[in-house]
Amino acid sequence: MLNFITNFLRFEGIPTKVVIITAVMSYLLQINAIVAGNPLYIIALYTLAPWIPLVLFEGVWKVKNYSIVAVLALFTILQIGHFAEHLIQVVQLNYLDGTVACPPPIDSIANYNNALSLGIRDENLLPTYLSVDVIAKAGVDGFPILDAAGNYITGPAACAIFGQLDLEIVHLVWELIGYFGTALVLFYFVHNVWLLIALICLSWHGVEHLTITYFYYFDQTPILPGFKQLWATVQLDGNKFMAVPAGIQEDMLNFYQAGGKFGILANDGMLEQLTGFNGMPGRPVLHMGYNLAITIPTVIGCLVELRKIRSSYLEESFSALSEEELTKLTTACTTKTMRKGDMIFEEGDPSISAYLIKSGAVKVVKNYGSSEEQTVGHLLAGELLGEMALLDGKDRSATVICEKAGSYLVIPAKTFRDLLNPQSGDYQSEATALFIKRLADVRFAINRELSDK
Amino acid sequence: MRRLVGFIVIFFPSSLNAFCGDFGLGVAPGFGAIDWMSKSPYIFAITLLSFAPLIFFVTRFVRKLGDA
Repeated sequence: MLNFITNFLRFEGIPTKVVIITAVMSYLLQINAIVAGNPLYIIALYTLAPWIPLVLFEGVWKVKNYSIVAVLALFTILQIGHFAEHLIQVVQLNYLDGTVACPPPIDSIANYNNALSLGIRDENLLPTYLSVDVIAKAGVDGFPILDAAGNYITGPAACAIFGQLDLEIVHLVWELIGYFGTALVLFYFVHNVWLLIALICLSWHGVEHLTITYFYYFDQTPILPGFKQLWATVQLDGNKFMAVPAGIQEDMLNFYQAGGKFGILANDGMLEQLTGFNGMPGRPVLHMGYNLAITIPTVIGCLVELRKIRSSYLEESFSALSEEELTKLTTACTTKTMRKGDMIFEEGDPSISAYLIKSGAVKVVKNYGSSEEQTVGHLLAGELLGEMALLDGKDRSATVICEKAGSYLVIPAKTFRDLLNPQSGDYQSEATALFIKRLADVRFAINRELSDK
Repeated sequence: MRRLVGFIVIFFPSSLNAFCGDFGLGVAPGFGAIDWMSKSPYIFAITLLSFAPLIFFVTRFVRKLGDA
């Protein structure tokens, strides 16, 4: 039932070998980062970095092959990633006793000096400028709260995985990507009510973030007395650091710091400050909620469109098929890449599928590898391959080898036979059946001619 | 319809200010004590800006629904 999703999520434009090598590299880098005792964000970076070029190439390939629905899928994946960051932050905050100090304190010179003055750090361990993983809870005086045994009460920095990016401008950019991306795809998918609902949620989310960012950039005048939390950083193990509260410092707050950063509806934000009402969720929970409200309709809207996905290439090659038939054919077929010298199939192999060359070129060889080896033909993009064995029910009559790198579509035997039988009901295009039969007839004739020689 | 929207755009901040001023809600009490009402024109403009494209899409959606 969910074939259309798994088909779409598979790497189609990247050779399988490259995908496997990347997976191994990513895995090794991840293990290396863990063994070296790195904080979570560095482990995540090492794990994800090798996949970035592959995902980019595959994204471009998918847009070329599936048109705008691939753009929608890309926005949906980005949106899910964005929501996941918000969800992780809420889990860190509410279930792991985390502290919202975002971006997390850095092992900087100032925090190094604070640690020295508190006598909790070896002066020979110089600042590393890494973000802390763990934060000790602070009391109202800005110094650590200790448990009964005299230890710090600690938890993670509740800033999700990539807390260093927990900046107002980043929040705004993510919101705008979602907003303009959804608006763009809505131009094409006019009837998709789910995307319209997502845009409504994105619009309100946009109001919150544009307001907060406006205060951040344009209300910098210190207007109110307040306090600033100081931190001291100490090493835990490996490259992991902990921020220890080091007191508070009197400071003047600007509009953003005095409540603007909570926006309109969050706890301590505009609504609460103006009305005195005190029951709104904190910003992390509220914004996770916004993102949930955006992500759910976006995912449903994307699934609705993926169910109707059509390969641009098949649309060109089998233009006589209806839209529904093209969707069915797209879902049934898989794309594979080939490099020069790759064998598509070998003489004598059982016939289980036909092939349509999308790009590149192949040669058809009889008696491959023997003294009687003979090249009997060359096939280019747009030509069918392997259909003869399916039609006469015999094994492969020749070996096919890639001459020029490219890609080809694999059409399963059943789908191919359905295409040839418009009466079967799956594909009702007489013109398509006739087109394939004519191609096959020409191939049979060439083959007979070669056999006679 | 356009006149109504124009009227709201022009008078919303001042009427909100007057309304909230009557109830003493213009300035947040206690901690912070920041003047939110001075920001209301900006927030209102941002709201209009964010929702304006939505009007286009909703209208288009309803029209297409009618055609279908």
